Amino acid sequence: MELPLLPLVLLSLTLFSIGALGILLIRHPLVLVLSIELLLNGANLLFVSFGHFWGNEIGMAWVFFVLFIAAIEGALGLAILIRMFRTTPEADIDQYNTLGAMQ
Amino acid sequence: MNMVILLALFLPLLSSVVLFLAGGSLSKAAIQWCAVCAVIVPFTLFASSFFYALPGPFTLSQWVRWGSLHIDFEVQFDALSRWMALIITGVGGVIHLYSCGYMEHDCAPRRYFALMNLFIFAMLLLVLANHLALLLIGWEGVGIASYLLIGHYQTQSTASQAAYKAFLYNKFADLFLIGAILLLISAGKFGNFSSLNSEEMLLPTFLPLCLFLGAIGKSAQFPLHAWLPDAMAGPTPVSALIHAATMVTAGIYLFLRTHPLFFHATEVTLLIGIVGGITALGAALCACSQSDLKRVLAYSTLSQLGIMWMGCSIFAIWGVMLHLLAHAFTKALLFLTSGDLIVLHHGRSDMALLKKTPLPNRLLKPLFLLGTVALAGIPPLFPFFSKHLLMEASASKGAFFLFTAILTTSVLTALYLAKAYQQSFAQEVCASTATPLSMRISNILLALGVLLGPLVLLFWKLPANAGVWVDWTTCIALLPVLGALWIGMISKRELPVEISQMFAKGFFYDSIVFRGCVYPIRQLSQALQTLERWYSPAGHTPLIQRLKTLSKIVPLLENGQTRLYASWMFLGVALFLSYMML
Repeated sequence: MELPLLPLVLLSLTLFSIGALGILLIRHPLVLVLSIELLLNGANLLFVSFGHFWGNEIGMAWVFFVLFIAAIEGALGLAILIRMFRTTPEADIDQYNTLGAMQ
Repeated sequence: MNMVILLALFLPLLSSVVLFLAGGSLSKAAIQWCAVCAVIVPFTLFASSFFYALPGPFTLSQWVRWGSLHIDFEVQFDALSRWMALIITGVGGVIHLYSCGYMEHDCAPRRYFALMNLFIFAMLLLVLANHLALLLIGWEGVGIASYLLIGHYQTQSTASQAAYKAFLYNKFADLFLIGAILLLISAGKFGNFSSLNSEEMLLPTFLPLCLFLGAIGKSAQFPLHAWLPDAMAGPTPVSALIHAATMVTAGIYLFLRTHPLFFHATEVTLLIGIVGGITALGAALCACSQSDLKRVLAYSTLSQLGIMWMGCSIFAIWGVMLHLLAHAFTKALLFLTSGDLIVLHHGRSDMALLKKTPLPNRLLKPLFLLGTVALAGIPPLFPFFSKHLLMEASASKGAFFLFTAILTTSVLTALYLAKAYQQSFAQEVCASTATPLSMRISNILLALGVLLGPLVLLFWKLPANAGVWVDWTTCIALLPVLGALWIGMISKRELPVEISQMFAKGFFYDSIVFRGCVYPIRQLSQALQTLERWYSPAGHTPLIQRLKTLSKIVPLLENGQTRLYASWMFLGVALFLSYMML
């Protein structure tokens, strides 16, 4: 089964852009983590589509690595988020602008 | 023995610190006793070294460990250091005793005595150091003590200006001494004096020149001499101790200590002879027309130091050392006897003013006359022997220019000192204004030093050919000196006004320095200031304003906002990718 390349690339670009805009515009920390997942998945989709297009498995193999990293990132990110919500409940990423202890 | 030397070295420092920190609660008498003892005791300790064998150099502690460069706090006490230490503590002790009387009505005796003790410590450190780096510490210490003591009368603007001038001249010369040390370090030859002297080594070419230029700042020789006459704005004992007997001989000491370095630098020794000659003759001429007694003595110090440098240029080491010793005693005697008159005028030393005052005691007249005759070089007083030794050495080396210069300087010395004596000590004695006992005792002690000083020759191993004291040079030298003394005593004639003006202003050296150095630099700095204003017309301190604006932009890159960092990151990646694609 042949899939056309262009719609797939456009889809992954859209995913990536949504992720990037989410990081830049939305101030909720949970949305930040979700947006990073979107970025990674956009990249994954590109890997898979080009792997399919060129007919080799290297693209597929990369996806496993990226998913692996994404899982770790999600776990760590959620742990950090929980700590953050415990100290400051208002959940605004712009509040976290110091390296020291939270007020 | 090492402990004795260390005790003698650090006692003045201890006393100085005690006076600075706790002196406020001490009475005036206690301050004086503390300060005087802190100099007399080291003198007896140093003098006791004649009963022991001299110890070798010894190390107090480590100082610098940097690669192959090893510098320690190393002290040595050899024959040269011993004589210098004895001069410093001996003459210094007498002058401290004198200060007790002279500074009796001074408002800041604690600061005065603490600084005097600090000076003694720094000077002892200078002569006991075993390498140039430790010597430099003492060297800067005496410089700062001299600066503070010249400016002791803080309410007089002349005193503070003189102190500033002395400081600048000294610092300029110190740069060359530091340069010499850096040259040695960069050549990898830094070491104690014995290693410096014994090695047959290739030295940096400029080293002797740098050492000499460093030395003439402290020793006030021709291009850098102008601070010494002005330094007379300090109290008279300070002038006697620092600017006649000890600190100004530090440069001579530096030469004596490192003289083997100059053996192969014939150009530099020639320069030393010329500079010494110019200073000796020029300063002697200037002294003839001064109206201020202390300035006469200051110019006299310059010219005697010039004689010592001339002796250095032909390596007449022990002659120079003897003249240093003789000059220290004689000049201190002259200063302290003048001080008896000056103290009656609250520090003013115009000869026209001094002439109107009756002498406070009967001894003063003969003592100043003794100093005059001694410094003129009449036997059997102390400076006769040293001057004779130097003249003999220069004649035997065939340096007849030096011989003539020393002889002429002696004649001029006799002339101006006799004139100063006639102008300020010719009046009656009046018993009603008696001086304190301590001042009289110290005057007599110094006079004894001048009379009995030649006895030190018994201790010294002089060169074999210097044993003949009475020969043709002595006879030739004595006649014009006696003639000049006689002329100075009786002659009322003055030089033509223009010439005497020129001498009185020191050959206009100060205005030459102002026109040639101070004025152009001031003009340049004003021009640069105008340029800066023109470059940015708005605001008083435009450059600073611009820097402040810039410093507000830079933190925008780094304000802790996660989303801002993310945008920079995206922007960076986008730029990078577009660069890669294009």
